[in-house]
Amino acid sequence: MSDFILEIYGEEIPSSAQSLIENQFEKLFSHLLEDNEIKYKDLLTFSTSRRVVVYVNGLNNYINSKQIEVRGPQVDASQMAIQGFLKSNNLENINKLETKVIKDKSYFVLKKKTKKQNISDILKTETPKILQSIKWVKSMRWGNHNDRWIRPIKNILCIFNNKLLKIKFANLDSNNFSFGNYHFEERKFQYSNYLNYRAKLKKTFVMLERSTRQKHILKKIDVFCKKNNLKFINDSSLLKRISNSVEFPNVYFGSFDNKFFKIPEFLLKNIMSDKQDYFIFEEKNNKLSNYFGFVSGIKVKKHNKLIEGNLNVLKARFSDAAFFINEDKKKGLINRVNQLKEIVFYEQAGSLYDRAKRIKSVIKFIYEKLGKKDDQFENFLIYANTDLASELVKEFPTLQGKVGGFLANFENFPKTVSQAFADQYEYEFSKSYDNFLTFILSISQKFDSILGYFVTKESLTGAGDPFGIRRSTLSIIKICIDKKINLNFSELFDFHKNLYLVQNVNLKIEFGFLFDFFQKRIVNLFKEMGFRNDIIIASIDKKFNPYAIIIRAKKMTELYNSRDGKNFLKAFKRLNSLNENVGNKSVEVSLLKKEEEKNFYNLIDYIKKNVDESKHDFIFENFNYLYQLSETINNFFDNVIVNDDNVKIRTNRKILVNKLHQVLNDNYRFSLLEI
Amino acid sequence: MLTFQEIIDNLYSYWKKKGCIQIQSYDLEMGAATFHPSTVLRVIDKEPWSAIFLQPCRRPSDGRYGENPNRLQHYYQLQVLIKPSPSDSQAMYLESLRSINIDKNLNDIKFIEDDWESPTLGATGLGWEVQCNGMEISQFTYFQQIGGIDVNPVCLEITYGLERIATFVQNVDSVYKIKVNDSGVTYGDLYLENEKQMSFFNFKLASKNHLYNSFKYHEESAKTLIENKLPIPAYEQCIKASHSFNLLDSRGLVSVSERQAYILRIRSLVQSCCKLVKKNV
Repeated sequence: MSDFILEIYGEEIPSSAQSLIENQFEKLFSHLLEDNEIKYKDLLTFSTSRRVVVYVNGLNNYINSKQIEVRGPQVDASQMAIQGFLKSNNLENINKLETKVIKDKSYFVLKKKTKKQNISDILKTETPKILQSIKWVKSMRWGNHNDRWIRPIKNILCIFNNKLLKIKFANLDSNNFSFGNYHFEERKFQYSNYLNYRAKLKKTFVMLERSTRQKHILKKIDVFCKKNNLKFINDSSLLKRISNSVEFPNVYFGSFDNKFFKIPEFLLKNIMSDKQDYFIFEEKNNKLSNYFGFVSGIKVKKHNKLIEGNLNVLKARFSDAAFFINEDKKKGLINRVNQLKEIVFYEQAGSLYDRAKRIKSVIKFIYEKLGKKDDQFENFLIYANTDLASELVKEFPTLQGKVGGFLANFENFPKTVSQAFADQYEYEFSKSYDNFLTFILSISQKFDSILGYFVTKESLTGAGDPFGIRRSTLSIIKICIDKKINLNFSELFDFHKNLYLVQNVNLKIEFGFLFDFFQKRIVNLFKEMGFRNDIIIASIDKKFNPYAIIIRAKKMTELYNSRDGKNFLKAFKRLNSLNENVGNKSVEVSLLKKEEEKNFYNLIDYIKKNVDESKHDFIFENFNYLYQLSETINNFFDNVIVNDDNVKIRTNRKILVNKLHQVLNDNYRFSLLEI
Repeated sequence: MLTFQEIIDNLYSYWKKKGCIQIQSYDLEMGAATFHPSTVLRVIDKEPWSAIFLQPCRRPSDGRYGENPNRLQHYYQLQVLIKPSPSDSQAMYLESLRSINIDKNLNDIKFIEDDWESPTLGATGLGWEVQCNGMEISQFTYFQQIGGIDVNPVCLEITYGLERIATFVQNVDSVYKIKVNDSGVTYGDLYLENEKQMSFFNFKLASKNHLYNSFKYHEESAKTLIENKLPIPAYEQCIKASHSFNLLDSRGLVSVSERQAYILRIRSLVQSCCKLVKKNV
């Protein structure tokens, strides 16, 4: 059996591109092999900071010749089509063609024997095409040619059956050699076979598998944590990024001076993990430790210089943060709020100050709707997004909110308020998190962002979410559900739209548009939670109250799965199939003759009485009533002919059917269920 | 130990041996050496181009009143340009570091992904931020576009942050402690007072009205010069407009959306200049 290896070696490949290229190699090479009916055992891909590798084993050297049948045009096709087929198969006339009936139509077919093909020839022709067809998020040219790759390529190793396979890409001819880790002299080595290749990589400090690099890092961290009694704050995306940045990870640890703890923890953490890509730790008491870890491509015995260098950078970054904190503390949130007037929120949607005023009003509105009081903190709400004018947020944009919370705390705002400022941009909250103001602030500012986005735009197209609108929508829905916030979005929209109007901003969208937008999110979310699609749709009403919707969906599911519920839905189906729109007519009681139709009529009144606004969920609350309901409906249809010969009676019965249908369907939308 | 001026000398010497022509600093305020006409107006044609020059740079909003150990509103960049980009670019760069006593085998030199772009110049490039033991010391970029025009052949741009490199080479924890020469003159002796005073100007005192007017004046001048097919002086006006904008920004007078609008105004002028240059070639 033969194997194939392709290694593209070059300058540092960004972490995000490594998985992308591995996935595409896997897809494109497996398609190539399968399309050509080439059998193989394993197809493996690897990547490091300097190389991407695809390896296929269990290959034959040839594809043996075989008899195949090529279908041509139909026998009665135009001469042009037939001639074209002959030409493409190097035939002069139709003598060598046979005819075959396929699905009642007669076709020309050519039976021929394929040539025996070298698999190496296929790989030689197709590999450069694959290299050209990679779909990058970003790619580049270099030097004097037009081929694109993620970063410049230095060497292409391409081997089939342990022999050089000559291909050309990006001005480079393939070779039968590769290089070791360039931090260790970049030693060139000849390829002899795969096992030997792996052994040589290992010897020259290249860990080809990402998982091996990650394990190596984690092992070093584990030893360090045990020794120093620390807890590692594991961030899997950081770990992946770091392990992708090297061919061999050497882990080093340092610690910064305790004096920097005057800087808030969230800022220290952000600087270390987001800006410097350092690993961070906690003490046993959950306080941030002053130890940090980092990974380097080089291994040095005297690592003081390495650690000292990193520490100096950290000190400079901390010192910069301290500078901003001082500037922001000097100015404070209260004094800065007017600066928001100069910052545009969205084009034509006013300033950030206008937004702050709207958010404050919305919070008040929601509190009133929920029957809660907001007197203690009402006056502070205007400062909820004032941190957007702060120096810290300008420098650390991802810390918006956290900075506001920090400054609010510094200015002795109530704890509830500063915590709400800090956490308002979170998308989800844990079960134990219970600051109610945070939820309402979070909903209000996200709702305002969504509406603001649609001030100038009439739709949100494309798969991306550059302004986070889709994510915010989902977050609002989740908060309402998780925290049991009983809020009608239709009312919220009307109120909010009016706030924009007062500020002379005319929203182009109506609630119908927003309803559809929210509905898509809720359907996806509920599907993920395991609800049936028809039940979700039936549970959503015009008021659009996510918390009420989920309760209804749960009850509807319960009804759907119960024996009485199933019987009832069958009865409803009969009702639904005979229902006609009869306009706004009333039932004439005098025309009700049979006992079954009188009972049916009484049902309408009974349900109507119970299903008013306050007892909307009457049926869900009274499953035992379903049996009686089904019986009455079935008895009616079993014993009463709706299409009576007498027009008056017929019409009256149709009204009867329509009225019961209406009272059930308007409130429960059973007709949307797949019964 | 190498002094600040020896670091500059060594890098000049190294790259001149590699065939780079030594260009002089440009006499206008600019935010980065990339703004130098020897970069912007030279990389868009097909002719080979290898150059090195030192450029004083100004980023008003980076001023810290001299209180931050490595953040300055005025500093020096050493820039190397090679078109077409050589196949051993990285090796050449690492060798240049060796000429200033930074050995890649003893120090952690990392190439960190950095998709460079200058919205003002309508320029993009792919490459890395180069870190030495965690500190950014260079930008390493393969230009893909400038002034909205494809750079073909691709030009390599290496920008050395001289002050940071010097703090590393001399093992000091503040740029102000850098020894400039053997007689003990420090960077702080030369520039600390400048940083303090200029920070006050940049953050507190630069005249709002004057800046708005000067931006408009330079913008109008550039337009007139473009109409007269004079891209070189027109581009100078773009550099001046850009500096006025940077000062407006440091004075906190530019909102988020306005900021984008200003950048687009400069960019469209730079694009016109580049198109004119490309046409003339």
